[in-house]
Amino acid sequence: MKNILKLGFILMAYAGIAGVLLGWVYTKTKPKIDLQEKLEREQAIREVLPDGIEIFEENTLDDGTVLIIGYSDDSKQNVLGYAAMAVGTGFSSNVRTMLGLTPDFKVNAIKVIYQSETPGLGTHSQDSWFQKQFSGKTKGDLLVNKDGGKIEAITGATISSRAVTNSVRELVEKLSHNPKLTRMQKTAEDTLSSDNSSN
Amino acid sequence: MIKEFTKGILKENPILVLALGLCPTLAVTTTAYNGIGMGVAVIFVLTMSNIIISLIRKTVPSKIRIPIFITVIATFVTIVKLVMAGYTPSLSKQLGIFVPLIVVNCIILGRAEAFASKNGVLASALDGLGMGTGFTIVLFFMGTVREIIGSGTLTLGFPILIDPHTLNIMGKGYSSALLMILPPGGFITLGIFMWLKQLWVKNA
Repeated sequence: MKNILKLGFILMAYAGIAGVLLGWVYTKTKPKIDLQEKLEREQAIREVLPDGIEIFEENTLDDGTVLIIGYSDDSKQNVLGYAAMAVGTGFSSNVRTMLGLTPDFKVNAIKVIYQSETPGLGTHSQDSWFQKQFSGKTKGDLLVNKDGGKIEAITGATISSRAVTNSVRELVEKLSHNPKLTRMQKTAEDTLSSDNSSN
Repeated sequence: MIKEFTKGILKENPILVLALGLCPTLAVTTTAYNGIGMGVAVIFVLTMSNIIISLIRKTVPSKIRIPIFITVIATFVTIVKLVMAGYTPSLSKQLGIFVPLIVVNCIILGRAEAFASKNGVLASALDGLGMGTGFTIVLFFMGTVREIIGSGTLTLGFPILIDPHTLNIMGKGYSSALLMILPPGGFITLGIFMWLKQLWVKNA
């Protein structure tokens, strides 16, 4: 009995030292890691938004979706595109994809930000040939070819391909039915036509 | 002393002879570069944990040595992971899946138990380096074979130093043998490698 307590205390001492050490390293590296994640997210947003966007700001929609709206200049009159994160359930992970849209809800570009799918199969969802297929697609095309759409699935990784494609399609559908956004698109068109008439 | 280093490469190769750490071996060798990446991460963690365990070996009661070794290894791997994520994000992305896998790689615990807990610091460091190198060499060749047959490509590079590049070995018309990338292909390749090693040793 005495021996068990002694061993228990020794193990506790080792675990305690390890815990303190880890806590210290965690607090030291946390701000750095957060900063890296933020930079990475911003870079992904810039990559998927259409060209010509000078400034973008984040909005939270009523359903909790964080939507990034890109404007052509500081005046924030001219909406050039949207970006938002799509999450789909893949084979072995939640696949997170940053989706960029033009104002008429066509896909501008996508970027798979996080996945931990099968190495050599589902991990190809981050290859550029797969992601490039999404550019210019409307929601009707956004199905993998096996399901009757226009996205060529990765060989041997249909589940991962579906996770990306379906999550993107659902997000496009959700955003294109959002009253706030459709209103904004209308205003953008009005501004555009009034610009034309003044010319 | 130099024997402690060289034994891990062929005579006591962790994969081909000791058959330790097979789970990450089968899981990551889908490309040659993944094999190198995992190997380098293992060399680093194995050497460091061997050194630390050799240093504390006299204060560890033998009855609870396994949980203490695991604590040391897990602590060390977590520190490496956090520091990499904060300071070298690109490397952290490349090695991302491999690093947490190292904790459960039984080579690390195996060497702590079989060698570092009974030997001095220098010998333990050399043992870790040698075992890690032997591990890396096998992973690299398995990755090469599986990638060329399974995807028709070859991805080469070295963590930190050289960014990975993919070469198209088999050309465009090659229809890849997917089996080689899936776990069965890993087992088949591993079995053939073990057989070749035995043939070589017998004839030498």
